[in-house]
Amino acid sequence: VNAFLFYFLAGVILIPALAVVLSQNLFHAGLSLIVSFLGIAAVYATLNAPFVAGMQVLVYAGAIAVLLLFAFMLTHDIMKPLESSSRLQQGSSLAACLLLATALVRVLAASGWTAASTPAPVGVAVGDLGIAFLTRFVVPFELVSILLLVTLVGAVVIARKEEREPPDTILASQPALALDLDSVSIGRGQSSEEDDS
Amino acid sequence: MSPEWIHNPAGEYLQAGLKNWLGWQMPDLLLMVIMLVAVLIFLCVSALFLIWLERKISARIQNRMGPMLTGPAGLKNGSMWTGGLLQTVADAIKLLLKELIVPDRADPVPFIVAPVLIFAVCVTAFVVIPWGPALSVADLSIGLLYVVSVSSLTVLSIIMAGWSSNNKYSLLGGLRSAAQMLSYEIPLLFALLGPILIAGTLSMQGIVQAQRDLGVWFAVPSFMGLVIYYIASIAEVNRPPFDIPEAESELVAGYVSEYSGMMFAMFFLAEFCNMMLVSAVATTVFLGGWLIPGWSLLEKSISSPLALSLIGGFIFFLKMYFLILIMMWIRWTFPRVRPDHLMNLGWKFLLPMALVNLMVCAVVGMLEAKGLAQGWPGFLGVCVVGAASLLIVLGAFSMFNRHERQDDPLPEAAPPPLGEPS
Repeated sequence: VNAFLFYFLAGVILIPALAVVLSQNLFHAGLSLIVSFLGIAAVYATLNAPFVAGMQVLVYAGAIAVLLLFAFMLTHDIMKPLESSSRLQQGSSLAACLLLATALVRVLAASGWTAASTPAPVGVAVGDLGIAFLTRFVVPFELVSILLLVTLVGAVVIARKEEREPPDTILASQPALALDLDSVSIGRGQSSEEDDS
Repeated sequence: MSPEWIHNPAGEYLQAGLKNWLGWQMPDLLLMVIMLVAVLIFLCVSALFLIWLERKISARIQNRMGPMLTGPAGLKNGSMWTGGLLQTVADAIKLLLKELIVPDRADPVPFIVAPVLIFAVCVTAFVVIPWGPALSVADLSIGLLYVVSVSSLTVLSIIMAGWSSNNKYSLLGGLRSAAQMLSYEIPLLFALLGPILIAGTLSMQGIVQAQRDLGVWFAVPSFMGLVIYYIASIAEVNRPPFDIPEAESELVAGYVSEYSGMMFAMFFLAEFCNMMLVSAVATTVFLGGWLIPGWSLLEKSISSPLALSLIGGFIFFLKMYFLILIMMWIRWTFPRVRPDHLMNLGWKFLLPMALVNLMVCAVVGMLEAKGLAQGWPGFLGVCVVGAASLLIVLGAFSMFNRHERQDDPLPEAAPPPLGEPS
């Protein structure tokens, strides 16, 4: 891979990634995340992995990040400046970050980055990828699909509201709730007597 | 040094020609820029023409004349179809001269980037369209996946426009469009999966070639795939009857409410470019690309690859415009769909039908792999499979329709109004 291209793409990935963390505006953070995803897709493309690159754009930038923005739009009061987090949140996130950083540094140190002696692979045909998924990697592949199914069912359970009884049955069981149309004065609505008193 | 999964047939042809004539080859970067500019110019000119055509077709359907005054003086008093040929050019000049207004409370960066992005995405996706045997700017091994993944970013720019305008109508339009486009992307992808299964490749040139090998266009075994793709793609480009995101009677103009001048024009242009994109993909995948019956005879009689490619490009262009014409016809004939009907259609009808289509295509793919799809018997077999799948769709549609009506009684059948349940 061309070194200039690599450093350029690294910038495209890292600068928006920093913006995701540092931006006060959640919407801007979401947009920066998408730019970062696109940069990662470009790295896959330069590494001769076109299918993975396409999937990165389709799934991460095109679907997951868009759903994220969709959720932001449904959230109330998102444009207001963020409230500062509590001490407990700050402390726990610091601990989590330190833990993750330690793990990552250990992996980095253990991997011993050497230049590949074999020439870069030419890229796998999509068909071979599919065959590998259904033969050698069939168990992890199916496990992932079960995981997605469980997530889907869980989301439906959380999102599903209890069905309300239709108004007819409510009124049949509690006639007191029904409105006597003759007693309502025109233009005043149901609570006219309470207003007068 | 382009990797093995990118081919540039048109560019290679151009380079070979240059080498023969001048003994000189362009640098790769210059070639890329030239190719992209060619695509861009084609898209812009074609979109200008399509905007004029849309106005004329709407006028014809509504028994009017449409724009008549702008155009060459000799054509002014001609028939309806020659008047107003330069109307879109005049409109474009007007829009170019208008001031770009960024609302005071808007979020400026996403506001300005959104119209650029929606147009750029469409142009980027267009480069893999195979116009002729050697006439595609980039033939990727993941061609179709590339088109789908790049054009899935369109919804992003609509969300950006809707959010950053800081206007409740824009926001509602953006929300609606995100919900609609995410829902319809799924039947769209599944409808495309069937032909991929038969072709056994994702490359756009490869898909056309596979239809040549099979002997019929993929629209024959997978006609319902074409219909599902077509409906879902109308929803994807937010055209009526699926234009809920920009329903002018409720939302002013949806996500484009706050845009003016050239930024508005970019959205407008992008709508027409996206129509061309989905029609071009449908042409490639279902209608055989540049193939016509008797193509092999044509190939024998014409030896020059350039001429062959140009003829192929013309055929492709006609097929693409035919699909766009039907889209316009639908637009000016049907009323807008209600949001819950839209979701029901997408999730309860198109998606299951797309799965059926996938199975039908798998059968055809098996037939082809076993060598049973050759010659006349094979052709008849493929036709029978296609007709059977069509019957399934018609039956399922009548069931779906009856079910929808049961769920959604007519207004006079609604129960009499009661007090609000508390």
